[in-house]
Amino acid sequence: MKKKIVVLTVVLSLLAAVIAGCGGGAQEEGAFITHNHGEEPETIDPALNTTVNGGTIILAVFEGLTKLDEKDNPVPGTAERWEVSKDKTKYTFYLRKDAKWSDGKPVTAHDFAYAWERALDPNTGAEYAYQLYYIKNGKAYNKGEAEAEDLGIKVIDDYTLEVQLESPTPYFLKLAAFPTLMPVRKDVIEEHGDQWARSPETYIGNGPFKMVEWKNKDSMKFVKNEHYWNKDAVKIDGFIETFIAESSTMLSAYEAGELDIIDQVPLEEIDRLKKEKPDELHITPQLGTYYYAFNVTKEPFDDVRVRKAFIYALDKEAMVNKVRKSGIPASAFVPPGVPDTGEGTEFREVGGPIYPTKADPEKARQLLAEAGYPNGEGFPDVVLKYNTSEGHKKLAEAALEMWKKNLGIDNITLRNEEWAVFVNTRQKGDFQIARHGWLGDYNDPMTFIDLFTTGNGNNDTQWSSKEYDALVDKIRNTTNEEERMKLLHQAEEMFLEDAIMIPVFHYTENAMIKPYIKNLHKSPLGFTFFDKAEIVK
Amino acid sequence: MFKFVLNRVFSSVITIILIITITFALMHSIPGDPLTRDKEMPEQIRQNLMEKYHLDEPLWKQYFIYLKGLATGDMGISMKYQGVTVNEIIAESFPISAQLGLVAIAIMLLIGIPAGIISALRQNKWQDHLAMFLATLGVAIPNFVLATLLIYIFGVKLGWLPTSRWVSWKSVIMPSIALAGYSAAYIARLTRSSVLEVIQQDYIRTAKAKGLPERVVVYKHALKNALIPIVTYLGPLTAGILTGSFVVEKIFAIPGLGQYFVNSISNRDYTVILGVTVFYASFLVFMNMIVDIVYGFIDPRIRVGK
Repeated sequence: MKKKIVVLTVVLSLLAAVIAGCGGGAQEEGAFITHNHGEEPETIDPALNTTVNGGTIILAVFEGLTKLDEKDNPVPGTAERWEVSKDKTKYTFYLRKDAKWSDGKPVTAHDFAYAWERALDPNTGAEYAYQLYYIKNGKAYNKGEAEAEDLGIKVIDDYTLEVQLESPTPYFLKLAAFPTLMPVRKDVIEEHGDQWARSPETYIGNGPFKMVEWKNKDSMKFVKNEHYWNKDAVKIDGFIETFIAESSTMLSAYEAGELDIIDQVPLEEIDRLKKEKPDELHITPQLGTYYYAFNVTKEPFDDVRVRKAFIYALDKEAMVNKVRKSGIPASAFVPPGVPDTGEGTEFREVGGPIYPTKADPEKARQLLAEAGYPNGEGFPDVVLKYNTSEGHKKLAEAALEMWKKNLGIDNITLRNEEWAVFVNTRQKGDFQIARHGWLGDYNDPMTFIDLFTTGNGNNDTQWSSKEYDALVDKIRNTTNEEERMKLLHQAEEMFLEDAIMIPVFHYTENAMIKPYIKNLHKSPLGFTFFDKAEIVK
Repeated sequence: MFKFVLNRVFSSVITIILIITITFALMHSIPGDPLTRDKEMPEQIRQNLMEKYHLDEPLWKQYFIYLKGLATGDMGISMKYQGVTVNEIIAESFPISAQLGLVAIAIMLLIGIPAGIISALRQNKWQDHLAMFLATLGVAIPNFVLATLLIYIFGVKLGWLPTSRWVSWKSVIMPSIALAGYSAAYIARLTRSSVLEVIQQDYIRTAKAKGLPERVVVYKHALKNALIPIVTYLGPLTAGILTGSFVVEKIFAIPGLGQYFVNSISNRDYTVILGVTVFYASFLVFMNMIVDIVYGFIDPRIRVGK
């Protein structure tokens, strides 16, 4: 019996040790905001990052030449002022002399020049290098066709940077605030290589916050950067990014008070949250569009009338309101929130709707009849492909039902593929209709327009129009903003008139923010800014 | 015994090499690669990255580069997470999965075995019916449903336990229950039927006839034999549970190894897929070996090496 007691004690104490060893850390002291990041970022190296959430971290730790204000207009950041040449291709930035890195060293023009050159260096392998293709010879250097010396980046002195662009780029000042263009430290990167962006000691930035902890797959912690030139404007002590990937778990953690901000909620909970917590649920437009891409080279969608019939037969309002419960029904491709020329005007409002958001069965059937398929008779078999996900499936089923009802076509089938397989299928053009989505890289219509040029790696519709390509080229070289905007509208109408895809809805961000968090800025590009946020309890 | 162990070690190594080869072939045969992105990257950049990860080499060469690294204990760098090695991933996430798993195993044994014994000894009495009702429920409820339910009750409504993440000792409670639920129920049923079978054997009747007290009959004679199927079940189960359960870890946002299992495949993160598979396979092979050896102690008839 004694032996048993000894064994039992040993087992129990071992178990107690195991339990005591679990986890670590306690709730944060001080004014910290806990924001759920979602899936852990693959990298937070400004040159290598490709995700929006990674961008949130980078923009908290670094500061570009410009930064975006509440309305997403570029305002002085590390550059206190700039000059633009008459032909709008040369920018001269004057850096503020009090800007410092988080280790106290001054921020100079060399840091920007190095960062941009590094992002463009083919050996860096930066996916977002194309964000710097606007710089003279940027593309050529990235493709190994030019030398680093040929780049249009010139350091005049420690605090003056001259940038020569390929062509006038009206949104260049916005791009200067984009994560890829943040300055980085040459000495740190040369010493630590790939590892520099992994550990708090070497992840040195020039922005309002600095990283103090990275717990793999769990969380990251950031505190105020005492060397930041504008540190007095920063109200909170810091913020924590947690890596909860499941949207239902995020919501539970939020409702239990463990998180202050979540960027998404399970779509099936939206109705309840609208009723129960209307002040905390923030539904804001995101710069992105969900669409069905036609492969315009494959039967039966090589006929524009068939494509149009499919567009008119779809009730986007029902798909959004009844099926998905989130989003803005789309009447065209460029989403709301993208500015037009005049102060406070929006591209979408100026351009107006191009297709109705409700179905027009009569028109749809007529178009289909003209194409030679009255009431869907003799229509070839069609497969709609989407990547495996409950949400995409529901929408595809709804679309299928509408095409069947409004066009009389019942030989459409659905096929789902696992994500990486699907991306391959789509890029190879191995589909008739496929689900697609596009999130803008910067807040200008161009990020939605140049997508459909010939040779663009993301133009999966296989549509190719010389006229369109020439138009986009012309837009790139137009300096007059009003004229440029007019041409952009013309371009959007052009590919929609050719009905190369069905815009279904524009994405919205369904965030939950605790009422005591004030002045938090969320950009339509998806970034969250903590530098002006406050906790008022 | 020594010869047996040597034999097993040798065949284990062969098994693991086979697993590596098959995994390697399978993962390269599915469409997509670590550089597959939603937004297609320019050809030149793709080329540069291919070179960086040796993906431009012929497959057989990649295979040998991997084996060579593995022989020196280097499982390579993740192709998805910048600047992270597979060794680091396993070293950091395995202890967490293991802690969670140990607690879960303790729960399932401490609940499953006694419940099984009690219901066998009280066959067709209310104790039996209650235990088997709960066991059926336990087997039928998927762990993600149990997890969601626990989170809702104890995390959101009562606020007693953290809903998710790995922050304090309290974090282990709900995920380990969710992880143990199914197996505890299964073990209870297994124990019950096994005990029932054993107590009908002649030698038990003999023991009873000798006038031994029930306690001695059950614990000294019956249980030892009744435990064999449970030990068999426990071997691979332990390996699976210690290396993490993807679903439970994902729901509770626990930074364990299980998450890497599935994520690495959808990411086509070749080195991580291989690393985690090799690790899991080795563990499984090792646990099976332990089970074989433990058999010998429980049941002299199947003592190995004789």
